[in-house]
Amino acid sequence: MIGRPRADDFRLVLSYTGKVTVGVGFLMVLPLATALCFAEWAVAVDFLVGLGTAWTIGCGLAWLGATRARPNWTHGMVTAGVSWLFVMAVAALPYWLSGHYLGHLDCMFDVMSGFTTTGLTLIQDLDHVSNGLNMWRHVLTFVGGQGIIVLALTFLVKDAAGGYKLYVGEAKDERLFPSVFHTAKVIWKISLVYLVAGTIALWGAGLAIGLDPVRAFLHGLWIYMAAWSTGGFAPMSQNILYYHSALYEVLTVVFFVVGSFNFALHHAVWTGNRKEVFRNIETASFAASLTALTVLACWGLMLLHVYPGAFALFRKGFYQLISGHTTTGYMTVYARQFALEWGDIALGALIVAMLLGGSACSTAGGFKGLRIGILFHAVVQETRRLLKPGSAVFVQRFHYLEDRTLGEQQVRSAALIVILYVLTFALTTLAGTLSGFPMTESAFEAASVTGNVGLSIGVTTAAMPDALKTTYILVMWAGRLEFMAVLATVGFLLSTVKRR
Amino acid sequence: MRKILTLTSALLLALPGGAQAQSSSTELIEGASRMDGRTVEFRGEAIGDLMPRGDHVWLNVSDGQNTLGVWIASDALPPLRHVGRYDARGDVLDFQGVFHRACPEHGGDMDLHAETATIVTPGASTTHDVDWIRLAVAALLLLASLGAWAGWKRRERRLLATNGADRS
Repeated sequence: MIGRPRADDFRLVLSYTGKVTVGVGFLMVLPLATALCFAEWAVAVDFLVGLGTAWTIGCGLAWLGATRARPNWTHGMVTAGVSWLFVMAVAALPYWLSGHYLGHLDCMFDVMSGFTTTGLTLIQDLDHVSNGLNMWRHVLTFVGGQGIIVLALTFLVKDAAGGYKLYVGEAKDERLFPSVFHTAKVIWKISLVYLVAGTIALWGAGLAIGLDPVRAFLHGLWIYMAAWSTGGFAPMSQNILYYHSALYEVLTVVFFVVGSFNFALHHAVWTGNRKEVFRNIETASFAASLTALTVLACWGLMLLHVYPGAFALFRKGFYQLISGHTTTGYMTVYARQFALEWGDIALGALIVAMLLGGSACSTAGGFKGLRIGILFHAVVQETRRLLKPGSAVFVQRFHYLEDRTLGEQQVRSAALIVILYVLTFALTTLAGTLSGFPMTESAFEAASVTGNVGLSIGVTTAAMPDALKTTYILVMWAGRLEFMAVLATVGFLLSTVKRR
Repeated sequence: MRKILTLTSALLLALPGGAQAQSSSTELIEGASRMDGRTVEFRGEAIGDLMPRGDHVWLNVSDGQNTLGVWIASDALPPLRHVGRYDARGDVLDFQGVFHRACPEHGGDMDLHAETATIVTPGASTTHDVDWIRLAVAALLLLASLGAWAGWKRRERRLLATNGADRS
């Protein structure tokens, strides 16, 4: 396909989008069960409506799209792009029925924010939200971190060749095993083992800080889900500040840092290759940029005497910075404090951290450490080339799961994605400015949206213009899919129009 | 205009003698540098959880605009009957205490160290009735999904059979 889409092309996209929608319907069983457990009957009915809608539409699309044709790379990309937008509308239904949103656009914003593990929210009166709805918010972000296509691959797609194309379409190209299904299952296994360990740890911390056992468990589970997936949602409106606990903050840092690492790195460590943590180009890149930006942010905060004493300075400065760098978006300050107190140096460090992001093939967003590492090595190689005689041959090596030689193709594709991110960031900043927000605030929020982070300076509220909400939805989507699936989807739609 | 001014003056004079005007959470956050270290009055709904820490307790209080952390001695806090959650509107309290933009005692948190607390409006349980029309819609949708699923599987089987016939 490319050029003129035929009936089979549409059928393939419909069929896989339908399967992903059915998968989202299955996910609604979790909040439904939660609502039933806590006797939230009205909420349970809302999820039954959502579940029925997802299954009816999903099965209907799969029925309409049933075909003998096999997907190619473009189908995989277009399906990833289309299904993310489609399930956004379906998954927003329970939000809309809950009455906690001002409109369906706000509901779709929150679903996209959850699925892309961004963490910005337009929900109203979060502090009175039911357990069922809170479960849905956090399940969305947890599954979004792994990928909704990965979910469908695990349970609903049986075609191996087509499966890999879908998997790549969702911006995950790391194949831990020859079989893409095995890879998807290992991704889930890693996530679920950490889920159990993380929930137990945060449950204990919750009990220690005075939550009752049931609330401590629920909060532990939800906070873990959003930390591991670098999502940033929390069950209370104050986010992590609600707990007033250094212990809770330390645990969330551990979980979101671990969550921001590449699944391939997790797998290497799990299979005994612990040295990979220290040799991997992404961990090296993350450590270097985190150190430099923490120093810069703390220096900026110190110059303005924002925090009294080194402990408070580090606790606040480091937490927001590492939360931004891993693209988590957990906050222990109020959004407006960034704008009113933090100053340009610290905000600049945060904006850069949010854009750099976490690791490739992880739950994190942003440029990704792998690309930063590759571009850094390319700069070193070019500098060496300039300083040595013209006849000298340079081989630049880096370690990423194995020793690799830097190739031109790698540099080109890394540079292309980074350029697209920067361009999107610039245009999103412009959109914020055109909506009437100051440049720095627009840039901060744009970095957060482009990198799927979730830190907010106060721009993202239900009162912001619909055009800006729509822009942010599209940017979150494009950033999460790393543009390729989005470009393929746009190309597919344009070629459909051209045909007519 | 004169009437509005007179009315406003009368309202201001009607405030209890010696009490500060109540501050909203937005005023505190937006004017944090100015308000830092000052004694303020803050009114809001107790939400979520009471988190005891030694002889003090953390309580998060929402005035409908934002939620602010309140640090108060356990014995200065009147017994609360409700905290705001899905199934309850929490007790509304008046707090008087020192506002901190970045509390040195609590790792730089913005908080209120309250000295007194009074319940001004007791909270109450809230009910959420089942919408029977929604339940009926859900039942219809689930039935429809069964039909769509059966159609999908039948078509898949037919395609597989055709595929097999093509190969043979």
